[in-house]
Amino acid sequence: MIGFLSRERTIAGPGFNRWLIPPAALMVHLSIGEIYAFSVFKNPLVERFGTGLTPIGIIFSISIVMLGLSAAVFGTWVERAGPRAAMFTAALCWSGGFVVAALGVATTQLWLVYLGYGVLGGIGLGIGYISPVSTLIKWFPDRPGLATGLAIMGFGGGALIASPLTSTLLGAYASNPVDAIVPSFLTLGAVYLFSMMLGAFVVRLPAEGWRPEGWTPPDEDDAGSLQTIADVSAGSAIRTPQFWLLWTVLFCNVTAGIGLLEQASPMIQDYFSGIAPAAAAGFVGLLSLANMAGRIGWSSTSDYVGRKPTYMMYLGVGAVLYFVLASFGATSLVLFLLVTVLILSFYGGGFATVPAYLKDMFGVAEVGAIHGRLLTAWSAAGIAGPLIINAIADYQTAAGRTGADLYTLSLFIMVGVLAVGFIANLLVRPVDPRFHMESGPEGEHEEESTVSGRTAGSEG
Amino acid sequence: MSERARQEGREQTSSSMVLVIVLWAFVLTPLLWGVYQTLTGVVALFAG
Repeated sequence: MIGFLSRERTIAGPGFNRWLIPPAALMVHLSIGEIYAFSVFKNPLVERFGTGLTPIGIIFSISIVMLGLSAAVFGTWVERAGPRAAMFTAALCWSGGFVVAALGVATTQLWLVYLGYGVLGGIGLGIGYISPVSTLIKWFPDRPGLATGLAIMGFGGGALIASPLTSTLLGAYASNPVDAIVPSFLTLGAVYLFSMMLGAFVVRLPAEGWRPEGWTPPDEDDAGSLQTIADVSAGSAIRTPQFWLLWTVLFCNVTAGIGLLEQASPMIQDYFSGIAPAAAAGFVGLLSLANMAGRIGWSSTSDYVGRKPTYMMYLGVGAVLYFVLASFGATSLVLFLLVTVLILSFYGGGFATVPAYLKDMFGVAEVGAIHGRLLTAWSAAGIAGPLIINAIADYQTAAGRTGADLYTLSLFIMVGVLAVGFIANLLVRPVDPRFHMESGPEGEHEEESTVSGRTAGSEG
Repeated sequence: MSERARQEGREQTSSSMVLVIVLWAFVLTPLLWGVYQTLTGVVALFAG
């Protein structure tokens, strides 16, 4: 079994079709994307544990924090062990999390749900998120934006599947959804185990030196100014200013997007008094679609226009859109919808384009490990975004403001947040060659380079 | 290249294409179902 999971056993033979890799990646991302549909379980869990929304909301928060932490901590292992072992581990953690959480619900032990869905499931999220992404980048050096967009679109799409699926399961297993939580958790765990294991079975790494037919890597002369032809180890990458500039870029983009997502349903009802709760739920669905479409659409576009200009658009145009929303959003529902849909497409695009940006800056050798470390920006933004929006909304309510006025200040703050990200992106320059790994068979790699995906015969 | 090798190459390519189609269908079918379910909810926004 261990041999089957080993990195060496996942090297593709000649004639392997690289278009098998995106569905393998999607099997993982569509599964772990369930996390965004967790809110469907909220009310039944509140009733089951006889507690408030906050202790139940902590389950989701633990998962997201663990996603960032595990991606950062296990990123290097993912590169060393290879995608099959990583996806296999992610499948066990994610599905095992459902089983432990089901046990917690069955025995009314909330801490077991924290441990299962939060900690164990969160580790599965982090490992599952990064492993197919770095593999896709290796298979699609000619179209990294398209490749990562395809996988990360799955993370957004997973919620679109899980939300109606969970509602169906909760209704099918028992007349009271509270009694249906345990079988629903177990069913979802089994479905995701199968899907992710199938992905792990299919996934392959390209052989050393493989390149797409008819494609030649850019050399020093024709490479884009930010595209490196060398590799940087994960340990070296976090010592470069470029890593922290990209961390800031991702943090700002995610903070602004989460700020809107967090308040989407009450926001549209406060902006337009005639909007019913069902229509507000439809608005949230529309934003989810925009988020998913942005992941594949904008990330693919970045292959042609470049990563830096693409982020200029996310952050620069995004700031303008937030300004329009704050200033004129309440004047027209059509304008409100257009602006918010574009903002959420930029939010999704930001997630999907960043692995390709990292590949441009740091090369492919340890891009998964570097991506994992960068995802701590997501965890931080997941705390900062809702904090800003909720604190200001409370402050505005206390000040007696109503309707669109509740959000004006926080939207202007998001303009500032995006401006900071825009400046950080503007400052991104090529990585100093002193951080590059030494190449060639005789090259003496840095300490971290022993975990490189390019080191033949590396342990694991 | 011998005729047998060419034949094996063709078989490998066609079976690989079938596998590609099957696996894409495996992931796109539930995704399209989810998109459809979401769109039915979005209709409420414009119907109201």
